[in-house]
Amino acid sequence: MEIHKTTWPMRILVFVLFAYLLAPVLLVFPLSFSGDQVLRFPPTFWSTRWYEALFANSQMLKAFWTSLSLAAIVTALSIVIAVPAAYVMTRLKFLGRDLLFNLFTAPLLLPTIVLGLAILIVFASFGLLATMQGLVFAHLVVTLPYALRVLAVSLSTQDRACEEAARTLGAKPLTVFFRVTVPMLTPGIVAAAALCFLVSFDEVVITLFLTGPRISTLPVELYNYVYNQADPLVAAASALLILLTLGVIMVVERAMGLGKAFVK
Amino acid sequence: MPVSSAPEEHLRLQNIGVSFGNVNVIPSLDLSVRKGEMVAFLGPSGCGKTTTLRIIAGLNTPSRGHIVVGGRDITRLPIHDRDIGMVFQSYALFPHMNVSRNVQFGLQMRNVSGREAEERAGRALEMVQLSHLAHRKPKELSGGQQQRVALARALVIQPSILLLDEPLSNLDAKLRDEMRVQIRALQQESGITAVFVTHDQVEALSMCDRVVVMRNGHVEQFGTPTEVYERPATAFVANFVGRTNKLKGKIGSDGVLSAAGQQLHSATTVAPGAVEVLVRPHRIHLQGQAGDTREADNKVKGTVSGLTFVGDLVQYGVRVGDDEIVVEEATRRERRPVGVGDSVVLGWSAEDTLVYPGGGQ
Amino acid sequence: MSAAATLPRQWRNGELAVMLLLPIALINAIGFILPVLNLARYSFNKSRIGGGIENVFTWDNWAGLLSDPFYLELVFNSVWISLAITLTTLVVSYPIALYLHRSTGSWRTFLTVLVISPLLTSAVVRTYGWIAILVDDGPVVSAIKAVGLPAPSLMFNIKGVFIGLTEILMPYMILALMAGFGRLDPRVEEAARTLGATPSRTFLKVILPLTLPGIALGCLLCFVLAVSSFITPKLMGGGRVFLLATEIYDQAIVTLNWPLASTLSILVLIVFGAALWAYSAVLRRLD
Ligand SMILES: Nc1ncnc2c1ncn2[C@@H]1O[C@H](COP(=O)(O)OP(=O)(O)OP(=O)(O)O)[C@@H](O)[C@H]1O
Ligand SMILES: [Mg+2]
Repeated sequence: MEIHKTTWPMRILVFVLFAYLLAPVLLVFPLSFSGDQVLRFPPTFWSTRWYEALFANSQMLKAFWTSLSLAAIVTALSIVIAVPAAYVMTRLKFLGRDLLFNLFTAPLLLPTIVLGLAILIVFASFGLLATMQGLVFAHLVVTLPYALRVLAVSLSTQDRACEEAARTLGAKPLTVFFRVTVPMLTPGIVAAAALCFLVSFDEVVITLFLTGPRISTLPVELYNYVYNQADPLVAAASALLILLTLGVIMVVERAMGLGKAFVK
Repeated sequence: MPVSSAPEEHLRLQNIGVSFGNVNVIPSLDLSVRKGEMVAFLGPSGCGKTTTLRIIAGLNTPSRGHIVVGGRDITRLPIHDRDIGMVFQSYALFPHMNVSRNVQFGLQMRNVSGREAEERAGRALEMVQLSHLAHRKPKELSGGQQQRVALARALVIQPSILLLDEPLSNLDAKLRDEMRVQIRALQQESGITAVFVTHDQVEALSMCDRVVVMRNGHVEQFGTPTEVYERPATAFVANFVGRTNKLKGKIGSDGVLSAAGQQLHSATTVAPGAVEVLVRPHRIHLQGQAGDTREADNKVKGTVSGLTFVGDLVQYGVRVGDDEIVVEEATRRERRPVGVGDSVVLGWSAEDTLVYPGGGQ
Repeated sequence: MSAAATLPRQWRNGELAVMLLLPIALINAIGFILPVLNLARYSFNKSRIGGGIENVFTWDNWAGLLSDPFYLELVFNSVWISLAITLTTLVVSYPIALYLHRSTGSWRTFLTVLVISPLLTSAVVRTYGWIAILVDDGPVVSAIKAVGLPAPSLMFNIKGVFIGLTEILMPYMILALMAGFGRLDPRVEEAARTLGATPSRTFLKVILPLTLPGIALGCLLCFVLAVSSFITPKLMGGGRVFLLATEIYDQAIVTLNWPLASTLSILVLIVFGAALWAYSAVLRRLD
């Protein structure tokens, strides 16, 4: 392995590139404790004033709760809809199955700017603009493909013999599904749920087309805020968002760790 | 199709055929298993053992034919109504339930009350000596322990038939020996009819009442271990079960068998033409040893070309014309030593000379 | 056959299966297929001033688009800038991917998490981070000034968009490259070195060719994402950077000219198709 001793120039290069990659995310944390009135780095003095301002900003708080409930509803619906769909698509062979699977995951390939516009035009005629139902539906269009993919992979790698064993022990198909298939799928469900939650919570482009003064999500509010003025308030919000994301990832990591234990 | 069944018959496969797509895996299979016996399916990889087992359990659907259990045609019966216990090669224990819950599952499906299910599961675990591990999860058990849980889970529902698909193939040699004895004892105790899939001939011969030797989806021979070993129905069976010497020979129009450059005697009669002559190594003896009184219908001269001690056996390689014949003799002290290059005479009886048609040329 | 056998009879008849697929099929049809078809239709409809459309067939949108130098330049700029960003992303991502490929154990896991974590952070947040870094009196400009060089303006022009977008696309590129590096057996490299190749020759003759499929995939992915990126150009361009995606948004929301926005969207999809075609052509050449 002599040859793979990484040389010092290479190490420095990789370090610099990593710094570039992580700079905007890392910068947000010190910036959120800025005491300055305007965006300035490094700040002239430290304070928690922007966190206070954030929690006093009723529009941001409202948007946060909208985002949270939206993401929760979308996640729950995604799982409820995608688990049976993934089950049928992995356990049943039928003509055009692959085609259907590709069709169901195709929304992932479409640029969100195009999808957002396309949904805007259709929703306008349905009267779904700036409504919670409209947002839920639009988010489902993008979260379902993720959920379907993750769950289909989990299901197709699941040991089929357990389902068969349950059948030979006298379990009817529905019983097998709820008592064997779904419990064994738990790690996949947790991963899919976390992914759906993050995608829905962070979604901004499609949502921008569908929100209005009546209803808005946190990413859209942040976008509007930055578009108009870039003060450290957004840094405080961003720091909290990153921590929330980390929390969700940790939930997944634990669930997936559990999953690995299952395989053994 | 009329369904009839002999008095002691328990499971019958009748003209079963299986195709996957347009591949005909099992052309036509007939088989009859008696009540309380343990039958082994023995055969090379891909010959259709697992498929046949899954057909019985209902996990695969035959494209034709009938499965009859206890006089009742169950071909169209859904899996969960079949009352057939199965032990999977991978054990297929439910990873999210502990050992006790795994064993109780089948009882719950039969609406056995909670307390009774617990008790019966407890007894089943006692039977396989795992009571102390009842609250462990399957992943916290060793391979042999998982195997026993799978066995208890299949037996606790008191199925009419027990199917085992290579249940010992994932265990190490020592554990395998132990489990063989245990499984056989449990089967005989409960008097359950069992079908045991294996490609290990020792397992099939030592554990089971009868052996089905399969090849390419059909039955080559169905008989007791002794029958299969001593009187193989085909050259394939003779080759597959136990080791054997193979000589090319022919039977003349006068009915005389010749092989290894001379005339041989055989108890079996085959139509004139090219034949294969098979003799098991331990049925051949070196003639002219002191105190050797065994009679030999066939005597063949050869030269010792190799010699190996295998514990209480000596294995000789003997060159006879173009053929190399392997001879196995028990090690005996008073024997006149035989070395490489010595001329010897091999002898064996007509009964041990198995002749099968074919063999080329 | 065995799959069907483990399912109940009514499933084999497909009724229950259809029922279980119905919700996702409906959402797909109403939220994806219908809107996209509708988009194609709109690109041949006439727009009314102040929003709405007239349901008449017309080539005007397409004709207008293809004859207007502003839009031709817009398309040309978008494609060109996206290509440049893609190449830059490749150059800055390759060393990280190679380093990651060669590292092992928990160090590798840690670095992989570092690469993925920006992916899970909102584009708004990361763009905001870049604004903080690149503003006129921010750390970068100050540093350049401190060295005594003339202060560049990095915000509200294409430079800022370039820097920010490159960083935002890096994780995608790194992951695609690493997937492609699976083919790169360290022993091949060692063999080349023991045969007397210098490190740079080993790289050019052995490593690079073996990793070309990963490079092609990463480039396709980043190009596609760059062409359709919207948040970063909008926030960092300060209204002075015009690209396809931002124009679609402006036409849809500000001007309310939905037919034109639709036409531009279809144009984006055509550019996608071209990129995909180029990608498969490259792959075929590689085989
Ligand atoms: N689902 C399937 N689709 C297509 N062919 C199959 C399927 N299952 C089994 N086969 C084929 O049927 C034949 C018999 O398979 P089977 O699993 O019964 O063999 P086996 O005797 O159990 O072999 P082994 O000892 O390797 O387990 C094989 O040729 C196999 O390739
Ligand atoms: Mg098998």
